[in-house]
Amino acid sequence: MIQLKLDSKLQARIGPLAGSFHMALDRFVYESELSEPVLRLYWFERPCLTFGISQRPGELLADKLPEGLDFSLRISGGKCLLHESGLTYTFAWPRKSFPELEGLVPSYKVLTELILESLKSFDSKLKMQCDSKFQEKTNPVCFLEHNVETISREGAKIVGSAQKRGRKNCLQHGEIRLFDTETSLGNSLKSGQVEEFEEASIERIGSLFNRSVENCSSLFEARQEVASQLLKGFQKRFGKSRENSLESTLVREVQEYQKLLHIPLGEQPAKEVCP
Amino acid sequence: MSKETYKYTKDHEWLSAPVDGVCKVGISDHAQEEMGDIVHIELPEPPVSLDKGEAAATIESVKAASDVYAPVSGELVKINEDLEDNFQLINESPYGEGWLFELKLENTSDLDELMSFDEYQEFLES
Repeated sequence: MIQLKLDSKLQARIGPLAGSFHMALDRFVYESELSEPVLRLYWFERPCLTFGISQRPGELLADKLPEGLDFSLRISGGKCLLHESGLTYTFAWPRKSFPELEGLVPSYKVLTELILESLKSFDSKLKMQCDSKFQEKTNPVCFLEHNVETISREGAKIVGSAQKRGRKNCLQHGEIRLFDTETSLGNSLKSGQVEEFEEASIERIGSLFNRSVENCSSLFEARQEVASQLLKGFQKRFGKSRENSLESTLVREVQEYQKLLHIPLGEQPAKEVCP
Repeated sequence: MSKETYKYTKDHEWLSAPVDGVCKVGISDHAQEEMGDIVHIELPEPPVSLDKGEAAATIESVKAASDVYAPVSGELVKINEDLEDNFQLINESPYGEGWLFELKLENTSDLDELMSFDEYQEFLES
């Protein structure tokens, strides 16, 4: 297994990364010739709202958007999701090498169980959950539904994941919420959506993972701790990893994808953004 | 047309028997069931020339976006416009109203390389 990283020299050269760079890097990994699984554990430099590939950001975003928020499409499906104070993971694998990960639901189950086991050392109340309460398809917000087995704590969804599946490779990525900071997501969505969000959020966002990482002195430390446990979990299942940094010669290719996933925002939100 | 007469790929696509060299293409019941509720499909604007194995469409279900490939080489000449307002046709009628696009075959003999219905059932069980 490869643990793909962005080394600090490269980051210094590229400058602050837009959220769309991370999503573009996921697409780059997904489209690569993979001979072994690739794991990324990372976070966003500034809050980023990502949308599933078929969502229409222009229909969901409010006219007045909070400042400092990034926007990007993902290559995967699923609903919109705010990457703010959490830890993001990406796991891509070559299909032919992992028959046990064939099928959408079986692969979700394997990966979700793996993540749950890794996170349980922080909080024994975390559990797998799939309920029907928030299966309303019109709800645009990822963390307000549990339509495929996912990880929750006392009813609050902690991990939101989505997949991209192709002939050669599959990719699953998702956000592990460490702190309760969904407010700016609510503010970004159009009024109807905000209402829906706020109503549902009362119950859903009552209890979060932060209780279990509260001993960490900083968000950075909390992310490092959780990332370290996750890495151990993935290594246990998929073998010892070796670190690889993104080669600087490949940055331009990633940036080409970035152009396709970036959501341009002018005075009015774009009506529809297609990659 | 019935699913028993279709040809199948290992990627769970089906092709109907050709009429004037044109086949309908869809995904199997197994594929739609695995994907779950389909919420969107991205189809190209025809006509589009496709090589065998080339991504022709993307189907998005509640939790994944999955590529659909051209089972054989040919020209995508028509898409199922009924899907535009009703993606669930793919879930409800994968072998009928939920077809995805029509493909004008480059070589009808390419169909010989695909699985029959019975062979596909065996493949699913293997």
